[in-house]
Order: sequence, then structure tokens, then C-alpha cells
Amino acid sequence: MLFKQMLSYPTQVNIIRQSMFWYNTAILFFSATMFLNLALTNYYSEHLKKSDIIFYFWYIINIIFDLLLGVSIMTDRKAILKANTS
Amino acid sequence: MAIQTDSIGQFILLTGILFAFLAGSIIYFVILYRNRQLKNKQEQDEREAAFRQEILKTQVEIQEQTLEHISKEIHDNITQVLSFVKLSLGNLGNTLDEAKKAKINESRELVAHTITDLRDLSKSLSFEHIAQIGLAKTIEKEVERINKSDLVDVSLLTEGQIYSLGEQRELVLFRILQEGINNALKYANAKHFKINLQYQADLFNLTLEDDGGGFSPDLLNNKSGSGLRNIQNRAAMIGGSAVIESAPGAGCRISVSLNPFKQL
Repeated sequence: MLFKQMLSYPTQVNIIRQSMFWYNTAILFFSATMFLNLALTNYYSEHLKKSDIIFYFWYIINIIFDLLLGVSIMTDRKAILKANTS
Repeated sequence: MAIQTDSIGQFILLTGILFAFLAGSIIYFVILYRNRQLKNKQEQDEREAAFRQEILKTQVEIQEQTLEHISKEIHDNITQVLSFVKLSLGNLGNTLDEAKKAKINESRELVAHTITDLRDLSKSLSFEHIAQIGLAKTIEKEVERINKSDLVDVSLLTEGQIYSLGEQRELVLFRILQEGINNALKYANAKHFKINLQYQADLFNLTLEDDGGGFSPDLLNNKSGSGLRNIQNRAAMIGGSAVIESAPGAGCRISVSLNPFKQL
């Protein structure tokens, strides 16, 4: 939905400099991977004794999600600073 | 153990597919967004260009109305009053002795000269007159009028078979010419001014050249070069293009080209 909103009202700012893009990517990434992650966690806990790999997967997803949110906040901060100075 | 290895393999495969799908979606979105941005920019540029054209059109219309009004006032009011003055002077001269009559006749001639000049000026301002006699003839008359003033030596060269370009185009081209002459006299202090009209089968070209002081090409981008930009905008308005070439001390050359059969 958020991506659709971005497409409906495109601005002339480069997409990489838009915090909305990074935020949307973070949400999409998290929601898409969480669905699979939960399913796999349930499956492996039932059928496998050793399921360390799924926990690494959890960590990686969380780190990537936090990084994307961080980038989003940084780009937003830069945009605010730029608007204030100009 | 074998089951566990298979499961890990499946897990890696699923993860890989998921990440590939996510990356693909994001790339697709970026491309789509970029396309929308470009389309949006193009539409915005088109709207701005249309808006500028509309403003220019309105400016030209207002200017034409004003000039028409001034032309009518000169023709119907000032020249009529001057004609009456000339007639009165003639009557007065008949009642005086020879020495005074000669002086009165001198004044009558001056008034007659002023009336002729004002009529010419009125014609060059009037849109109707241009529409009636056509661009080439109007320019010819304008050249005669300016040469009479001895301010600058204007020469006209017409090449090809003369054809009509349509009222609006001819009017705009004539105003461009007037702007060019005005610039040459006012800013460039030109001594010679050349006008070249080229009537080709699929191209019309109006070239204006002067031997004045010239200017730096940067002036076209400055605020002070609004008259020159106006020439370019007017040419664009009638579907043509104006090329302005100049350098300090090297005079100025304005070339307006257009396709006479292109629909406006």
C-alpha cells in the first residue's frame, strides 16, 4: 500500500534519498520473511532436533530490518536538515 | 542425518527464492518509480511550456490591442486635427502679404510632412494594415519609413516567390522585425541594418543583421536580455525557431525560420 502511495504521487527526489522508500522496503522485507520464518520455525522444531540455522536466520532478518530502518531515519534526518538550511 | 541435510538444503533453497523474489520486487518498484518520475517531469514540463505560451499569446494580444488603439487615435484624431491646422494655415495665408505667406507655407509643409509621418507610423502599428497588404509589402514600407528618418541605413532583400504565411504569423514576424530594429537603434548604435526574406517551398526565413556593438551571448540568459528572449518566444509561438548570434563588437544576427505549412 505504501509503495502504491509512492507511485501515485512521485516526487522529483532520487528514490535512494527518500526515507519512505527505505521504510517501505524494511516493512516489506520484515513482513515477507517473518511469514516464512514462523512457518519454518514451527516445522523445524517438530521435525529436527538441531535447528540452530533457523535462529541465525532470525538474527540476520532482524539485523537487516534494523539497518533498513536506520537508513530510513538517516535519510529523513538529512532531508530535514537540508530543508532547514535552504 | 540424511533427512536433516535434505531439510537444510530445502531451507536454503526457500530462503534463496524468497530473497530473490524480494530483491526482484524492489528492483521492479525502483524501475517503475523512475518511469513515473520521468513521465511526471515530462508532463510538468509540457504544462509549463503550454502555460508560458498562453501567457505570451495573451501578452501579444494585449500589445496588439494597445497598438491598434494608438494607431486609430493617431489616424482618426491627431492627423485630422493637423489636417484642420494645415487647412486653416492655407486660409490664413491667402489673407496675408507675400513675405508672411511664404512663412505660412513653410509651416504648412512642415505640418503636411508631420501628417505623412504620423500616417506611416499609424500604418506600421496597425494590425489591419499588415493583414491587408501582407508581410513583404509592410516591411518594404517600414524600410522606407526608417530610411527617411536617416537614423540607420536599412536594406531589404527578398528571395523567392512571395506567399502568404497567415495573418498571425506575419504579424508576429513583423513585430520581431520591429524589435530587432529597435534593439539595433537603441542599444547597438548600428549604422547599417540588413533584412533578408527567403521564401522557399517548404521553409521561410527572416534574417536580420546589424553592424552595431553586439553583445555577449550570456546576455540571452540574463534578465536584461528579455527583449531577445521575447524574440525567441514569439518565434516558438508561431511554430518557428529563432537563432540569435552575436559577440561584442561584431554586430548581431537574428535568424527566424519556420515551416509555412505547419499547422499552429
